[in-house]
Amino acid sequence: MYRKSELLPHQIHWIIIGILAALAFYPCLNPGEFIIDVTFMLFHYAYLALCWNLISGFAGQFSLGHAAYYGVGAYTAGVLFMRFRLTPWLGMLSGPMLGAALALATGYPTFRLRHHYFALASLALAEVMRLFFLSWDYIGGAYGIWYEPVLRYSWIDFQFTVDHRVYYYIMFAMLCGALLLTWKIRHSDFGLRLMALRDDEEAAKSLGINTLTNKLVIAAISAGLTAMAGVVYAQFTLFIEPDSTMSIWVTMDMLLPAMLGGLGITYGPVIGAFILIPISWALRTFIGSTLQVVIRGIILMLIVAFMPDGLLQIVINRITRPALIRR
Amino acid sequence: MHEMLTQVILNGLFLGAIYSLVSIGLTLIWGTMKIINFSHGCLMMVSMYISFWLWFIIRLDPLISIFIIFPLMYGIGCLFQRFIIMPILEAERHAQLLMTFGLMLVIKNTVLYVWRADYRIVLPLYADLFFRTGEIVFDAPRVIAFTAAIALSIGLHFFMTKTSMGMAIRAVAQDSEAASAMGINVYKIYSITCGLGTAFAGVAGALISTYYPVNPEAGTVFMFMAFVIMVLGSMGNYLGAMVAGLIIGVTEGVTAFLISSSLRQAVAFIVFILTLLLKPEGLFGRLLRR
Amino acid sequence: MTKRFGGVLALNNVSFGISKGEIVGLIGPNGSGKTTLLDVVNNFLDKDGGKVYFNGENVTNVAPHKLACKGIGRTFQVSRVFEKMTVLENLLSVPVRRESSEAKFQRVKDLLETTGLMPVIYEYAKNLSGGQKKLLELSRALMLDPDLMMMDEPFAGVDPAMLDRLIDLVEDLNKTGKTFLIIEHNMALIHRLCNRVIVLNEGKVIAEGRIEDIEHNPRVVEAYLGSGVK
Repeated sequence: MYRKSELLPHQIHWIIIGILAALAFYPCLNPGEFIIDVTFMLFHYAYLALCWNLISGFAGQFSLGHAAYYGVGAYTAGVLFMRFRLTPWLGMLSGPMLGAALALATGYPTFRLRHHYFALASLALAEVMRLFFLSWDYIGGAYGIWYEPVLRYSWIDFQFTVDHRVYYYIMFAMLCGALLLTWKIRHSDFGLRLMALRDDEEAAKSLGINTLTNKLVIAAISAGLTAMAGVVYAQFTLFIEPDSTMSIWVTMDMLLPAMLGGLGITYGPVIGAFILIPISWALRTFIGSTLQVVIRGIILMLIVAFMPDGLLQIVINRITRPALIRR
Repeated sequence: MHEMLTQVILNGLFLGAIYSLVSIGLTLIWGTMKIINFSHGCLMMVSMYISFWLWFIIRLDPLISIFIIFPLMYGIGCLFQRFIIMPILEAERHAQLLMTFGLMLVIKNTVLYVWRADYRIVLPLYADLFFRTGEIVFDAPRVIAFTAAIALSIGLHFFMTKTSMGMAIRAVAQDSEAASAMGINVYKIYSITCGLGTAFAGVAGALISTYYPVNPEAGTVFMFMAFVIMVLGSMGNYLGAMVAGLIIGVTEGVTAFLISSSLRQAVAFIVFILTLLLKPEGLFGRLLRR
Repeated sequence: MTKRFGGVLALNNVSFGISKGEIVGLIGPNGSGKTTLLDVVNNFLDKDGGKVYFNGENVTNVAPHKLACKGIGRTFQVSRVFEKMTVLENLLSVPVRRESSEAKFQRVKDLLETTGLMPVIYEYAKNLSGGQKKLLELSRALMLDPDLMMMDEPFAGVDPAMLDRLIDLVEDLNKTGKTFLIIEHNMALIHRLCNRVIVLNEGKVIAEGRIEDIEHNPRVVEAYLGSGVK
């Protein structure tokens, strides 16, 4: 193998596969809807964090308005179904396309400038979209889109209110897919180019890397995948509104786990999500949602101050201290 | 009709001056430390609340409370610089962005928790006072706020150009290494600039509490505006921020009047995107394309 | 190949040409515009006037990454390696078309052998020493096999053993036909390496020619040491 930049021994992969297998099979034991829902949401946020990590961690282009793509996905599915009676699966196709298009449109003017302009432009975009959707009556405005449950279990309508395990498996499949994609990108030439332009854009350019194109590609991929999650969310909750799909909190929910777990590291966002999400749920239950945001803001500041590259990066740094040369 | 337009333009101008104040603070901080302070709008919002409570409890008129708020916010700015900015001065750009962003979350939600989301407003003695020529109304709170803002801006200009401290700040903004080599204590300048910038935001908050509802979201709105104005007026350029603020204020008002009120904030966004597309260095600057 | 160029601001109507196979030194006091010159040729900075020709082609407005593909390589004054990537990844990240992965990997191995970086192949770039980083930056730029290498103070801060290796490398590459434009302050190195020297001062070319002729040019002496020295 050429790319011997693996630091984790082979065994780690078997452990991961073991865990995944366990997660795949436990729903068959019928543990009850609450547990299923909880793990579903856990996968959901881990998936979102992975998508965010693609552009922000690997390519270093921080997207502070990623929620916009999430909302686009959710609304595409909702509008297609409620207004046009089309199956939301179509939304799974068109939502990502719209999301990707949006990412390209925002990226093209802003990627050519210094990289923090993209962060701010994406933040502005998400906010304006949210405000716009709040006043756009055709798709519900502030009231949002309330699904009429068509049947209680229907593949064509993408609704499984009776048995949430279907949602669970869909999300599980998406998570595995995203993990696989992240891993593939990380170990490909494309991934190397992204990390190069993250580390030093000018040097990357001087080596022949077309930074603009590479950034646009990963932005589109990341946005499209995020939109897909938005569709699933719409079909799960059967209720969409601008504030729960496009606000800055949604982006925060994607961002924090990735930053905690490890930017630019394949498993980072997943680990971050599995740590952070239960904590924030517990917080929300015990101290209310406003204070919960305060705590998360403090967590964010602490992460930035003490481990800006995430937990896994600290682990990796320990393993690769200068005096150590592996293999 | 055209008199209503004039009224709108006038009010936009008045509001724009306040936007300018906030933006000047933001651009000063960026100019010297090269950090975008996401919590800037929040700090302004806090000072709105301070101004409100001072009025509510001891009936202190905002114009007078400015004399308390200015030094208070200046001090907060210095603390902010010392404890929040200093640790991340050398950190990567995303770390800096997220640190101030996190602070914004903390401040805003703490305010939300403590004082709830109810709208409040200050009603000074002159709240109902107005002056009228023909169809055009000059609202006392607005005029007073405007005058104070302009006066403060002019004062800043004198400070920056005629005093040695002001020139030191400009030196650091241009090239902190060179300034340091000339014997300027760069960290002290950072502290002063942060204090000054936050104080300006604080004054803006106090001035506007007389006619803009005091609520936790206000910070976000003004932050957004201040940011767009900073970019339009060329980042780091406080004169540019002054002018751009007035422009944005008027544009926002006119758009709300002619097109639709709910697109009010979309305007700022559109201006932002247009600026990035057509003239990313702002109206007054030069940008190195990277 | 020839390069003709003229620009304003930090560079006042600078014009010069380089022929294939030369090693040209670019010298001048600090602030005279040497790095700016490289930046403008590379198109990292906008020109206010003037043209750049490379191999007969007008490349004035070609984007930096395309220039790299055309055959212009660059190293920087402060070595800009990809800190969060390993040495191997640094080299593999260079997009080399028309080559299979085996061939590319072989080239990586050859470069690492030549520069002596093989022992640290899996190290993260940020853990390398200053001299090693310079070597890494150079090998990385060489991955593209550029016809013209522009180097900005490549020998500064490099320890003597490494220095010899670097110089030998440059000379060997030159023998295979590569052209070099090197910014350097160390006169001994310039003597040893460069056929020709261009002297810049305050954005203008004040002298050009062989180093022996230049050294005693009064204007050059004045530029470096000031007009008070006789």
